[in-house]
Amino acid sequence: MNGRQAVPSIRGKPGWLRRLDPLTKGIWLLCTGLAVMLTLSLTAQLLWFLIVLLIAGTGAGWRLKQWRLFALWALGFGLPLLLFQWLMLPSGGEEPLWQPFGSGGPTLTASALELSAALTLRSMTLFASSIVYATTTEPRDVVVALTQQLRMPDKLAYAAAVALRFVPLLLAEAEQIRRAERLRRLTPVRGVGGRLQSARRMALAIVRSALRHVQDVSTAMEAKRFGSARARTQWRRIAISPVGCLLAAATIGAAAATLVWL
Amino acid sequence: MNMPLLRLSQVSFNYPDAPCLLKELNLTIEQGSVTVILGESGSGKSTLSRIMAKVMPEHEGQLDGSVYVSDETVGHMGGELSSFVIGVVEDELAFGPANLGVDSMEIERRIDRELMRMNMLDYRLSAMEQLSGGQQQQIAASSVWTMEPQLLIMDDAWSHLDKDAKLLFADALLLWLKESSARALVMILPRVEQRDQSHPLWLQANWLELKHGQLHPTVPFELARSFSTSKGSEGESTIREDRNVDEPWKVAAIKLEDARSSYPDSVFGIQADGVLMQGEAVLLQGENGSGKTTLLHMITQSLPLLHGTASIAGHSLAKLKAHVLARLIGYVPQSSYAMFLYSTVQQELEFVYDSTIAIGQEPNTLWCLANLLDEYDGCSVEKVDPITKRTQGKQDDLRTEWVNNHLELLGLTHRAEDHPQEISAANRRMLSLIMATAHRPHLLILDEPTAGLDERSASALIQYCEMLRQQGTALIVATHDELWDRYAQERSNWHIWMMNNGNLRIHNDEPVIEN
Amino acid sequence: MALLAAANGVATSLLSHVNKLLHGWGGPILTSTIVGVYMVYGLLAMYIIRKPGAAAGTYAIGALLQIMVGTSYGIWSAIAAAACYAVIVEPLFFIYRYKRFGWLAMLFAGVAMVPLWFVVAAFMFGYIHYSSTVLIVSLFVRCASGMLLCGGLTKWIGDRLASTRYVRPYALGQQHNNAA
Ligand SMILES: Nc1ncnc2c1ncn2[C@@H]1O[C@H](COP(=O)(O)OP(=O)(O)OP(=O)(O)O)[C@@H](O)[C@H]1O
Ligand SMILES: Nc1ncnc2c1ncn2[C@@H]1O[C@H](COP(=O)(O)OP(=O)(O)OP(=O)(O)O)[C@@H](O)[C@H]1O
Ligand SMILES: [Mg+2]
Ligand SMILES: [Mg+2]
Repeated sequence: MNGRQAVPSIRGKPGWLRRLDPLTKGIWLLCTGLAVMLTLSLTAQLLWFLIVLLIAGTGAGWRLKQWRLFALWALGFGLPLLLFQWLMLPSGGEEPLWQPFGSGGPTLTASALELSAALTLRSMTLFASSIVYATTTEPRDVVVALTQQLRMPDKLAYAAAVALRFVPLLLAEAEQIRRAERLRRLTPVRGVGGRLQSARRMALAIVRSALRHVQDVSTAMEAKRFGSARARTQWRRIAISPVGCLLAAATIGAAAATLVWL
Repeated sequence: MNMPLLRLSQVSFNYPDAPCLLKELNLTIEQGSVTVILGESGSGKSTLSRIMAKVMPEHEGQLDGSVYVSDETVGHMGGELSSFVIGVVEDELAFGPANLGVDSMEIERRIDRELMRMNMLDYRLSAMEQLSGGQQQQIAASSVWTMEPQLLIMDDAWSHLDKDAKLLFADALLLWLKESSARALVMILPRVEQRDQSHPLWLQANWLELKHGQLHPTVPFELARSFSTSKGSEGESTIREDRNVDEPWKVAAIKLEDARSSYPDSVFGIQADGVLMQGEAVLLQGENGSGKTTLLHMITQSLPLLHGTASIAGHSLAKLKAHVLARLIGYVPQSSYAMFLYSTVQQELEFVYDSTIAIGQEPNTLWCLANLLDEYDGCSVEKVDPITKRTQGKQDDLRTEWVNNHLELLGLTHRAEDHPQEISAANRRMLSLIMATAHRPHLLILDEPTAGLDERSASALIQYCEMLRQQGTALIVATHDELWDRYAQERSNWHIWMMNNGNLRIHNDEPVIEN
Repeated sequence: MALLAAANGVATSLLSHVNKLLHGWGGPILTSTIVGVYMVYGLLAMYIIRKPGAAAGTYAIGALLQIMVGTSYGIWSAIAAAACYAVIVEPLFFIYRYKRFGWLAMLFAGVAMVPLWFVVAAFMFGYIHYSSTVLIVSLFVRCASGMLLCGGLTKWIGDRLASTRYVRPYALGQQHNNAA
């Protein structure tokens, strides 16, 4: 319960994915995305989805709470999507599996179900892989990778870095403003109108404070001589890890295999 | 003769649509010199520092005169708490030197050295948002320092530091100056605290005061002395008068029993015990990062109460609805910008008025504030009649009147359309205070209210708080500022709570020793 | 620019989850209703900065940001969408010579940005398998959304910002100052 030794770290507990460099992880992400996008076979989609889950399960170091949230989201949009697409996708004139509203109503066929399941799984894989990447990668590492390994110009990479920095900052600030608003309003919000008004008030306040921050940050960057003539030192280096290479290679292989065989 | 590092001659500056802020100002900074620039809030100190460091964007205002800055590196630390680039401590420290192309080993060494100096080695990978106010300021200063500039310009560099940290900082500055005779330091401060006066850094300093847009040589510590002598005796007399007045309010404004709270995703937690009666005030003290702000977060329901009990004016904190709590307390956060919701000062005041009227209260009227700001006279608050039935039109008139009166009190009538963030620190703090107290809260919570304020505004603010206390408001003030200390020492209703590493133990349950 | 992208990053991530639900419950048609909001940030950057590359750069950063923050549509859609928008906006304003920023021009830009990404998205998410009525309706909804939520909203926000000091260094602020 005591202070000093207890230091907040940037994100929760470590997993092996967290230790990978952003670049090879990025390749994994891209290939996974590409593979599921280019195939329509249900087996392939299912396989990819399971692989992503497996990787997340072993490497992401999510806590139970995060898993629960993830599951909730995945089901919350996955199931309705499955049903919706099953209903909407053309049946192709085949024997209906089930006609919920009698013969006149919409039909649900086996082929539509298969297609719908494949499409749903594709969405889920895209979603899951992206979340896994985002939760296991430090934004500042990405900036380092961009400038060092992809040779992106400093200016651009730092614009991105600053943008990234704003995300937690904006969230923190939005939270602060929300609290301030609550303490200053003195009355509970009533009805839709009140809620809208208070939302508008907060949104504008957030935008304004964000704008102010940009000004501050650009002054700070200038004061610290960003972009002065001499070459910037890359004081942090990120090594490409062997595990990362392995993962990237495996994913590329798997993606190729998917495209060829499935 | 030493080489000048910086020379301003006939420099004038004004922000758009504003009167001239700096008028034909001259200044020369030589190698090996220490310059301290004092100045009241809003006198243009920050503006001057930005011009000196050449970080004043052209579109901000009209700059005339010549500014010469030598090619050597200039380090500039601005007063804002939020001017970080990347947001992780070690990156922040490395950013400056990396821009200058310093060797990576060297950068590494400087980071370690700085963190060691501040005793913050454990925080190397922390995100900036997760640091306490003082820690952020420390990092802001060091992130400039790691650039090892020749000329170091520090604007309001330590207003949030505790007194030990401040002394360490001053020591380090002195050491840094001695290392090479080519270095120069410019410190921009609203005032110097009495207890720091003996520090050797000040002995070699060249003292200037920024006033009416020009720099004048000044005698240091004059202000500080005047406060203690003039205030001391008067303070005594107020105590006598107040004694009996204080009696009626003997309800606990806040009561904490083994109350615990902590940040999500962080191991830092606080544990607090304490009782504060109506009409009493307490100074919440403790070193940087000891959990003062965290405690206040808990009281304002920003952090959950995880264990124990806490009650405010007899209501249990855990069961209190947000809006009920809001009526009971007034809160001014450490970073004052966290309070503003609108784009103009006028709208802020109008909102305060409206929301106070909405709960059937007459907004607090602070006529005496004008006196406080002008001179240090105490005064009585004009008692306002309770709401009588009024027509809608009358109500609007009253609103305009209330808002205009307050603008006038703050001296902001001509700046009503300005963003609350652009007015000077003192006005900003006063505005926050007005916003927090318009609904006459039972408990007023202030987080570092006088950090970075000059002596006059700070004492006005303190006096105003004392006045509210006399009316029965309970006060919690988290602060490192010695002005409060001195004020509290003279009064029996002011106590001190010490926060130590997340633990609040009551330093002295009895009133602080009376002189 | 970075800021707009950042603000968008947050908004998009939140929106993308809302969108995900809409998608789940109503497929392409419902999703299409708010598609305009996604495109605001780049267009707004163009509106403020008025230089070649303003929108493209902002969209690029926005895409990068979405990857970092996590988007529920996956990495490719973030990249592709940004590319599709940029490919339309940049030439459009080049033709306008970075001079025309009236209501009409903005509304038109909003509409113009929609179709390309719609086609790409249709392939990506398999909308292509839906019947053509559904597709046409959703394209229509999207255009309306692009026009109002992107073109209109951008113009509205931009004009609101014009008087603040934050845009003073950019074309929008300068124009405002000159006019005043
Ligand atoms: N960007 C700005 N636009 C317009 N006016 C400004 C701006 N920044 C500051 N001012 C105004 O200029 C005056 C001087 O501001 P400055 O920040 O230089 O004062 P200061 O001496 O540093 O005071 P303090 O730090 O106590 O606020 C103030 O009245 C302030 O309201
Ligand atoms: N949002 C946060 N998330 C996690 N930890 C935090 C957060 N904010 C502060 N902390 C940690 O909690 C501890 C106490 O911080 P707090 O802000 O309460 O200190 P403080 O006593 O107010 O110090 P100061 O005098 O510097 O303002 C610090 O060690 C800090 O690192
Ligand atoms: Mg200042
Ligand atoms: Mg604090």
